[in-house]
Amino acid sequence: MKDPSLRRILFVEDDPDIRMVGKMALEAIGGFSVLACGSGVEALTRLSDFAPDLILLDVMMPGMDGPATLGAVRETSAGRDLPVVFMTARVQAQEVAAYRDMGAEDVIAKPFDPMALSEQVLSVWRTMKARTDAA
Amino acid sequence: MEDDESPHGCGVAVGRMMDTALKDDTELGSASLRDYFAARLPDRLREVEEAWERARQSDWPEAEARTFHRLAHSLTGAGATFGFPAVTDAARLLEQRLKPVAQGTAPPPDDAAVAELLAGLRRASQMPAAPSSSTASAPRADEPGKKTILLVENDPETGPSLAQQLERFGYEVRLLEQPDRLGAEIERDPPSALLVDQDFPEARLPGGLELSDLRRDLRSPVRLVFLSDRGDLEARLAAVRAGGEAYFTKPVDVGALVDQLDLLTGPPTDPFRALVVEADEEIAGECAGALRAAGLQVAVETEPERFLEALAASRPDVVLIGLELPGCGGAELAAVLHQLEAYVATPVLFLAPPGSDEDRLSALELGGDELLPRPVDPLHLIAAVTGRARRGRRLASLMAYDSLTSLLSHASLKQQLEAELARAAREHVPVAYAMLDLDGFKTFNETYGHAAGDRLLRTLALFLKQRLRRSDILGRFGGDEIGVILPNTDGATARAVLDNLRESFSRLRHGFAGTELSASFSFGISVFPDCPTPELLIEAAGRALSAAKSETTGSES
Repeated sequence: MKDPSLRRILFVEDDPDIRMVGKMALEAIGGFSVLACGSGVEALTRLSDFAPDLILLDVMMPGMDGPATLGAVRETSAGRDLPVVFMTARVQAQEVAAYRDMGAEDVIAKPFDPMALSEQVLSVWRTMKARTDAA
Repeated sequence: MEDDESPHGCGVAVGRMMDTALKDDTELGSASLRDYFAARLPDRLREVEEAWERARQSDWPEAEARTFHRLAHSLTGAGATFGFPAVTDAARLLEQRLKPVAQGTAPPPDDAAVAELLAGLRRASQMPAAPSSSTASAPRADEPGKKTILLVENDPETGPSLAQQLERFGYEVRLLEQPDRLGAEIERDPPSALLVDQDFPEARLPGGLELSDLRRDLRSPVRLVFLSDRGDLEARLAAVRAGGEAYFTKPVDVGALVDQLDLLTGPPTDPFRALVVEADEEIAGECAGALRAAGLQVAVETEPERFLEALAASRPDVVLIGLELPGCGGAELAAVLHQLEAYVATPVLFLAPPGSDEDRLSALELGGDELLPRPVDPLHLIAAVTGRARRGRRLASLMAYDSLTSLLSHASLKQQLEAELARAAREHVPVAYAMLDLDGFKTFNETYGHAAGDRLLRTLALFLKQRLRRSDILGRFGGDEIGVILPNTDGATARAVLDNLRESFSRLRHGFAGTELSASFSFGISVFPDCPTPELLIEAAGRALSAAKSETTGSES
């Protein structure tokens, strides 16, 4: 299921337990190199260093939430065109559309299944690639 | 979690947490994830409780309210991720209550409401993660794992004597005379329960330990029981506030204490069961969620025509019925329910459409116990359902159990015997039946009085209950006669088991009227299929008992 073009994922999630499981799932099952951050601010400070291929971003976080983090990521040179995938428990159609309008690539529903998370991320990645290749 | 905000914080935190439970990548299976989160839950709950404490102590400043709300929200998500639906449901109730407060659109909630929600969360955290696939419990091994009690008692006489008595009932007791090493002791080897002498001046334990800090200082959830010289409300309140789940005044009735310890450290009692019959999935889901968060087992049926099937499958203690159902009225469904013999007394709560006035009379007219207008207040719902379920169960158990010994009543014992024989016949396995009674009980009663006799009988019942398998069935046959059904057991095994029990019971010392006495019992055994009916089994066991009596001391039976 691997795609050599997706290797590094920056995972931003404020809940420490979910962060740990998400990181482990992406590393162990997807074989990705993962940097897990506990807040949007932390993600921004590590962004250029880590140089991810994709950001997996929790929507509801204290302080800087997902959309605010996305906005700030877009302001940086490293993150201007970086694909960002939101994770949220609210995945009704109009919300997904709103997140897409903000510039998110797609939305993955919470709670996620650790065994399936990598495949979900890859599927978003492949769809995105297919779209850009076609364009 | 705030310390995770530092640039390098998360790496450290992840590393530390991985050490705690998940050792390597191969352990990502759902079972180990659940174990991991189960181990983390006490810390997560404490975080939430501390956030509440901070918020209320500083009169709910916005920042604290937001933190409290965020922690509840976080737990909602984590519970779902790790497969703890009850935690998610309970955390969501708290989160919903706190959301407007965090947004500054509602005043702070009162303490009682939050305490109730937090208690619900704590209960939910103690519920098993995965929905259990089978409700039948496996028979317990003959020698259950020893349960340890950490006893904190500085009285040089009470401590050792109480420890000794508890040990007779199969508990392993570690005695601490000073509580200063309490935390370390618990860390070293977490006990099943903590038994603490609350004999302290001004709410302080004899080591200067603040009583109210005790529960908070415990890293793992330990059942907490207090002993005290005082019976006043102030002392009892202090114990409750410190998280005490039971309270005994000295001199301690050891029988009652063991009962309580068994209850607290034993397998959880069957949760209450509720059936929600409501066509609107959202309403049904909300009710079910609130009830599950309070620890109930809930079945939902959205199609009224499947009511009878749902009833048979869920065997509810309480039924909630929507008043507006397609095809039939809620009141009609309640009438159907009460015409079924097994559900004649089952409480019914109606879920009424919004705006309908909460008129108890109209509920009664409709054949229900209460009318709950939507939107249903979760706390009210939980209180209404659990209150009725508890009362219903209690009534049923009063009919089935003997009040003195808490063993099955004579009638229930016979019913069970019939059921066990039918099963044994199907499965071609033996069943042993033992009848036993106390030696010299009549003389004992005459010498020490009937109250003492009752106590002795209770002690015997308790002793047997503890030592026998969970699959064995005990009932009070009448007087001091106790019947024991040992399923799937042949005569020789039953004899060996009971001989062993008789031997250890006779070594117990009982304190009566200032002196220490010992007591013994005799027994007779009969076996199915040699005796093919309950009547023949009982008769044969009775004869064997009489024979045993005359063989031994020749004392009256």
